[in-house]
Amino acid sequence: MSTLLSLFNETRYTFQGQEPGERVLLFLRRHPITIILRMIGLLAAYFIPIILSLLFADYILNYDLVVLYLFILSVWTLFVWVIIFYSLTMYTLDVWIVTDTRIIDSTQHGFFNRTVAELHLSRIQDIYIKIGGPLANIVNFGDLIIQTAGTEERFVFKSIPKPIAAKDTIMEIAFPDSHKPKTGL
Amino acid sequence: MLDINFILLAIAALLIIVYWISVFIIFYHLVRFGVGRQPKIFSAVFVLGSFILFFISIVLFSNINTGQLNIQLQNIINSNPNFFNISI
Repeated sequence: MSTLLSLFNETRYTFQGQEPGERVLLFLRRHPITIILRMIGLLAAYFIPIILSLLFADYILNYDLVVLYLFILSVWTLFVWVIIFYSLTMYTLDVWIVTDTRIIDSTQHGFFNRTVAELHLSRIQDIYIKIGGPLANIVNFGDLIIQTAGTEERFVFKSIPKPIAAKDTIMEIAFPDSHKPKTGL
Repeated sequence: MLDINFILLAIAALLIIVYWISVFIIFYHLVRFGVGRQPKIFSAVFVLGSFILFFISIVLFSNINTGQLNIQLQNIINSNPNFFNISI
């Protein structure tokens, strides 16, 4: 219940497990274009039974199957509705939070697999970005990869918007003395 | 041969169970694990929409005359339809 009520006091600058005085500098999700493209695909799939009904209109009308057709269409609507929100759930639950002390990587892999990893800024060794494909270059999104000290796993921020600006922000807070941003993106 | 009434009811019951389990899991994930307001707003829209769409489906289902449907389907089969001969 308290989680549901958190709707009224949570903002994008607060999260569960936040330390007192900890400041959120970046709150990142995948670029919206990634979910918009999927939504377009799902909406196209939604129209399949409508197109089929136009093709088989004679059968539906001659055999008085309109009610059955509408029921099948409503079930298809329920199915597409659930798939749309499943995609939105996966999209909204993949978040990367950069605070003034650490980086939190929270990713959801299907309904029952979830990874939450934390990295303290002092352990950052190397950061690089990867922008691949024409769409990523036009809309400006890409992957940001953080190499940590030792043999630990890399942190990958997938398809985030403005990856160069995000890299500069992280470099600034991780290496305040040595880094001066060269890009104004 | 199985009664079409029974088959329809069994399919409907299965769909209802799968549907509401999916709705609950998505709602729970959005509310429990979502960070910020956006997932909570999505969850509210999702649950509201799910109830409305489910209600519409139930109304449409109740309008199906299963006794007549059986005869209609038999008529289609007896007419030996050629689904490839479609007119656009």
